Amino acid sequence: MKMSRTMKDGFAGYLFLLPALILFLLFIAEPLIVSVFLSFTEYNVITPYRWIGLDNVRQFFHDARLGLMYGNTFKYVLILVPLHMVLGLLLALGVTRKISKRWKYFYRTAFYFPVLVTSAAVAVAWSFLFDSDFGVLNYLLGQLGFDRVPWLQSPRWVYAAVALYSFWKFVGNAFLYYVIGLQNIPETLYEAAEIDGAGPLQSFFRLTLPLLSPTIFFVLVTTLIGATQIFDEPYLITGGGPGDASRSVNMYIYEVAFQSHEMGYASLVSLSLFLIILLVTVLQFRLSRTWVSYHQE
Amino acid sequence: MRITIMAGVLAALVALLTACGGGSNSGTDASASSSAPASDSGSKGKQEVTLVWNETDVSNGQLKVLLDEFNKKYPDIKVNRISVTSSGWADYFNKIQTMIAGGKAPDVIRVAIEGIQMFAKQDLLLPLDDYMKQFPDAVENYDDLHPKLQSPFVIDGKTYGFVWDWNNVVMHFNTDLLKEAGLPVPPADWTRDDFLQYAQALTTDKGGKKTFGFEIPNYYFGASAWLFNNDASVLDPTMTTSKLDDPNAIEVMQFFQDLVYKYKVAPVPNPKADMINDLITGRVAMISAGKWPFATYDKTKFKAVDVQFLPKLKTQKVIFGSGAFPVLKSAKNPEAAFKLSAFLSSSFSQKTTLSNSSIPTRISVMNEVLPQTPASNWRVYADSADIAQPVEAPMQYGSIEGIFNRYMSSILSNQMDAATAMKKAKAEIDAALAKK
Repeated sequence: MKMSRTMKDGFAGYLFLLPALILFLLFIAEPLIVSVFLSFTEYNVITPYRWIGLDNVRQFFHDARLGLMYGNTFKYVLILVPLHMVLGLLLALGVTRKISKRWKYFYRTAFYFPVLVTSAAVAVAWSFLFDSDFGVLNYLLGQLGFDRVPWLQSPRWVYAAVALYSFWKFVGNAFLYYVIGLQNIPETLYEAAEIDGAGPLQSFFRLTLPLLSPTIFFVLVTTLIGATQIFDEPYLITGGGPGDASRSVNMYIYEVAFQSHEMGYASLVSLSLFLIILLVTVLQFRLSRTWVSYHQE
Repeated sequence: MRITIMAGVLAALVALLTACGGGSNSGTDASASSSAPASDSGSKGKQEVTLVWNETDVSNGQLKVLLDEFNKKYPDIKVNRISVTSSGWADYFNKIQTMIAGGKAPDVIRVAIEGIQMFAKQDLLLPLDDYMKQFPDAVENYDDLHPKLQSPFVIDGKTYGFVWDWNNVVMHFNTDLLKEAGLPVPPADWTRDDFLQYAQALTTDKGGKKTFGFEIPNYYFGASAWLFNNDASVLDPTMTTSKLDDPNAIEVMQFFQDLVYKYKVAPVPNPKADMINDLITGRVAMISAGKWPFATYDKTKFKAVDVQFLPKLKTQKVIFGSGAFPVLKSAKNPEAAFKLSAFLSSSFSQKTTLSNSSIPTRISVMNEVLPQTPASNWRVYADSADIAQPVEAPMQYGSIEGIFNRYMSSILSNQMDAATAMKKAKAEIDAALAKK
């Protein structure tokens, strides 16, 4: 029996999809399904799991610390998303303007380099910089006549410390996407706008932003997901402290799973975080229809 | 056709999930094999044993020397070392458990007192008593192992390991700073008031270079030592409830907070601070730690150091933590694993590996090695073995350490007074202890 052209195309399509599908099933679908199952069990990795029905759900709604963790995570989102999005864009605009190629390469490398450095190693150096009594930052502030800042001891300042480290370490990601997006905007459009009498601000708001909107949307989605799942920065810089002041939901999940060995409850909290991220991402995609333009004509 | 392909994909998914779904049972493999000694040891060829022992404890060079000696006695046993990096004992034990759950259980593991209950109570360890009877030559003079230090590894009458190293917590002094302040190393029976006077005299600010008298031990083992000295503890003797709401425990924690904010003789603790480096560089004059800083002193050729017991508060006790090399029940060659476990506590092993970090646990080796400690008051290590009491480490140690450290950080960052923090810590620890 001969296969029709449509069937052949369909078969080829599925074959092309297969590698990605296998990876998806292995590393996303399977853990997700297992997490749903584990949410209804008591499981400490070593001894066989025990079905406990809705006990974890009851614990979820009575867990006073969890509310605090979600509050902390929300603060990270509010601070880090605008920080990375706005400053990443400004840095990208800076290196795509009319500066020599040599400096462009230098700045691009300088801004992206921290992303490539091992987080754990530089975090140790940053925690020394933030030291209240012996840190370089407080030394410099002292030279300028300012009081010492309790970077890692104050529930407020600890967010500034994490934001500073996060900006230095990860802004290169947003920066890189913006640079690529900006390079895809034809130079002829700017020349035409200039001939029509548009100034730099008009060019930016009428040309750059609309044409960059798909990139901005991508950066927004990935940065927001990254900030909601924040782990490295508080884990490495603050240890979640002082107390629980800088502990994120992801840190909490890690501790419940690997310090307390409550895999079932940790799975449930993971699912709650997954559902929130899913909801926010779907909402972003819906709203993107109103401001993201994929047409360059 | 499309339905057929989708059905194929779904079948593959089901097969995949079935293959991956054995996680809940894989962990039990560790307890699957019998604890009875094998009887056909003579007929086996080359046996392989996997040992988890970090490179931070023993270098590749030291391990080679050890294994060369081991293979002189047991030429048919090949030892493969796995080094597990971790941020502390709880993290380390978690990684071992993950290896077991993942079906990659090692055979012999380095375990400190903080984890022995956790592994033993989960039935993961092989009792070694039958092997000790069958191979009496494998364990070198059991009576030479200090009985108090060995006792944590004998649980419910079963021997799970032979103690290799131990540590206590004593005061380390930067003697250059003591000299500058015109102070001698204090006597063994110095008090809380003496300590405060020392801390105040040693806190200086010379030409912009700040030196603090003392650095707070903001970790479970170090803080527990101070609690013991005030007749307090994290847990009660049965390790079933917390005693952190006891006035004596609150008093110690409040004293720590006062050292930073009231007396200003201790730096505001940084979660990532390296107190050994701070002592060496003269940022602080006193730290409380075990024998382990001597490895760093040795590497940095730092000689201006001496040690003394912690100051007497309401009482003067000494804490200890010790470590051994238990064998997992899942060991593929339990007899070979037992022989390795026993060898690692031998005099040769302790002399090779414990010259300047932990303290040897063999009485004979202690007497030989400790006088070489580059501190005139080295006897505080030897003298405390008989009077020391173990760090409290039930099977829920990971949770308890996490809770304790979290509330201690609230106290030391001045976000909470000691009484409130300790009462909250007690409630959370009791809840953790109630979970099996």
